[in-house]
Amino acid sequence: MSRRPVVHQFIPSLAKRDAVGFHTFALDELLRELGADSTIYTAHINSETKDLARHYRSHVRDPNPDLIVYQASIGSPMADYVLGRPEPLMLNYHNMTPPEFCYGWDATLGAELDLGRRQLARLCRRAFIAVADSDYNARDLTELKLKRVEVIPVLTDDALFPVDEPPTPGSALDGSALDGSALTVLFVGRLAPNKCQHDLLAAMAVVRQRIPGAELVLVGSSSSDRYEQSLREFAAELGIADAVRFEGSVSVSDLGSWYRRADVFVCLSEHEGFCVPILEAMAWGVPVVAFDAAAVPDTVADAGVILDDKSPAVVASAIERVVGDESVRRNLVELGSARAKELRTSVVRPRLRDFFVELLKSGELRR
Amino acid sequence: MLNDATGAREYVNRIQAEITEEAHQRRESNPTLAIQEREINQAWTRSAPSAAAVRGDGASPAEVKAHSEHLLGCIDDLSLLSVDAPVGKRKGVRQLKGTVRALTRWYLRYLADQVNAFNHFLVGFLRSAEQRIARLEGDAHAAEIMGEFVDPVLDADHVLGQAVADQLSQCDGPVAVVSCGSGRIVSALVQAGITAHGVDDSVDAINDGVNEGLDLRVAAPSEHLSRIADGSLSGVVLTRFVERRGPVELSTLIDEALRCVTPSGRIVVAVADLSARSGPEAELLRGTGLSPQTWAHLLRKRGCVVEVSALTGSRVTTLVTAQPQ
Repeated sequence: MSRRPVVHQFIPSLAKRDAVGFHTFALDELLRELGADSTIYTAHINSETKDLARHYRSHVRDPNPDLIVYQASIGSPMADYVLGRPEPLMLNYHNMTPPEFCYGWDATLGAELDLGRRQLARLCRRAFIAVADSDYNARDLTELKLKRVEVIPVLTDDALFPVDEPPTPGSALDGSALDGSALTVLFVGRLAPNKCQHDLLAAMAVVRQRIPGAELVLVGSSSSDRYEQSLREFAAELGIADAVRFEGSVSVSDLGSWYRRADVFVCLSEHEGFCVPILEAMAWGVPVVAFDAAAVPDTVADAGVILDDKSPAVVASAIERVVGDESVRRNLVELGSARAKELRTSVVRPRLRDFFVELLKSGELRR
Repeated sequence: MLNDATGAREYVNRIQAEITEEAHQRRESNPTLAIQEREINQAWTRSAPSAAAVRGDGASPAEVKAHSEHLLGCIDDLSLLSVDAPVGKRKGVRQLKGTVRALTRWYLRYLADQVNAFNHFLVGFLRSAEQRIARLEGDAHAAEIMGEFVDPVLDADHVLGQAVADQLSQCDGPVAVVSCGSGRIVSALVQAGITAHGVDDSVDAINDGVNEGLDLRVAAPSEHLSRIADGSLSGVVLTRFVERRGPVELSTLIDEALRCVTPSGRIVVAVADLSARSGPEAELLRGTGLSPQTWAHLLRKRGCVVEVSALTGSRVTTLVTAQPQ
């Protein structure tokens, strides 16, 4: 009888609520389901993850695995350790923010991302296969000469999606928001320069002139104190400080409440590896407006309004059109709902499962 | 129409095109919109660190990176020590030098980031200082126009006018009421048979009194008194100076008043109750004014015999009367 395959996942930073973190836990569960002996290793152990993962420095004392899966999203000394291991290496690539977005705000984070990009090139030379979240991410890897790249979306947390059919969202179903009553524009994501929350503020300054009751809700923790401070200063300078809510990280139930309250989800990020919140918004029946950058068009896939210009007037026009035109709103909600179903874990997981079934039984693993 | 991928794509593309056209039309029909967009971008440039303001100056992150690489290349070119000399092509050494170069470039970039961080702090500090100065300037301007909102002592009631007239009842020469406002004290003095004129630096304040036929003049108080001959007034009444004037002007004013009055003359200062301010006075006035005791002290220091008397039934609660010695 052949022994159970041993798979070790390495992830630089592990958190349950983080999209890559959740994906890693979900993959761990899937590997166990396939009969593999799966362990997660990370560079930072905290109280939340101490019983779920091991520090990568302890790996050297553990039995050698048949396969190492590296969850690549940022630079880490752990990548150098992984590169020094002899076992077959698979990359699960979630993209890395180009460091130039961060250098002006946080030199340390910029350096980590810079390191990550350079490590990625070495990981691509070392890995024999990769899974990328999106076509956009796959292009990164093929440009680095990695030949075998499979595109399988990230596994998402079902708890973040509505249980049944999408609920009735927002307050603007009858277009009444354009009469000046409340309008909620939502974005979910870390406060980070590449996610361009400042462009949302700029657009809101224009929106507020036509819809005085409009508010912008930013859900997500801060990845740069300086960026957050500048956002707050910017909001004050635009005179919309009272119309912008910095909610920080919220509970799953509160997040659901925000999606229920939102009239439109607007993403003006200039770099996203996938952007799970777009799917969440679609699943909650919130129409999506997004800027055409990085993997965002792959995720939206003709189920939302994609803008190639995010100047405030254009974004404001898009918000007003989506909120004020009942026909457009209804169609976008319908398209979004269908798109969200395509990328739900119940659909994606079997694809990932098939991929690993083939991989684990192939002769490419060390046995 | 939305049942297949092609239909959905065509529909979304059409909506996107309509949105772009709508924005274009709005800009055309409302020229201020384009100006506002430009101002928004400029505002973000002011809020963001210098190296991160990629929108305001029109540079994309890729362009910022290219600029940064160009700068590092220039620094390489300017370097007195070439990393390729003298054994640039020797195997191993070349790799080592490549590493040194990479480390140098990393360090320069780190340095540039630190400079940016410092610039960000400095710009933020200067901006904060500018805002504080602007507030101070605003306050100064507010003091100038305070008369439009508040007239705490000037528009004195009957009780005050009569009390001041009583204090000056022995005066046989002219009396000047400084910062007279609409001239109620002047009116009370005139009714008591005293020759009196008023002076105020606000033409709006004296307007009503002038229309009533009172002798009210527009001038800076100290300057007005400075033009009056020594000992030519029997009395000087000071009203709003308690509230508005700085210590230098107050001191000058007291000296001028003392110079103008005869040896038997009187200086009367109407002092509001500092603790009983309310409404617009409390909200708008800066500073706390001088207490009766301080006024008495200032006048005694100049050799006057000072009498402090309480006043009831008026917003002015104290009269400080001084007689030069």
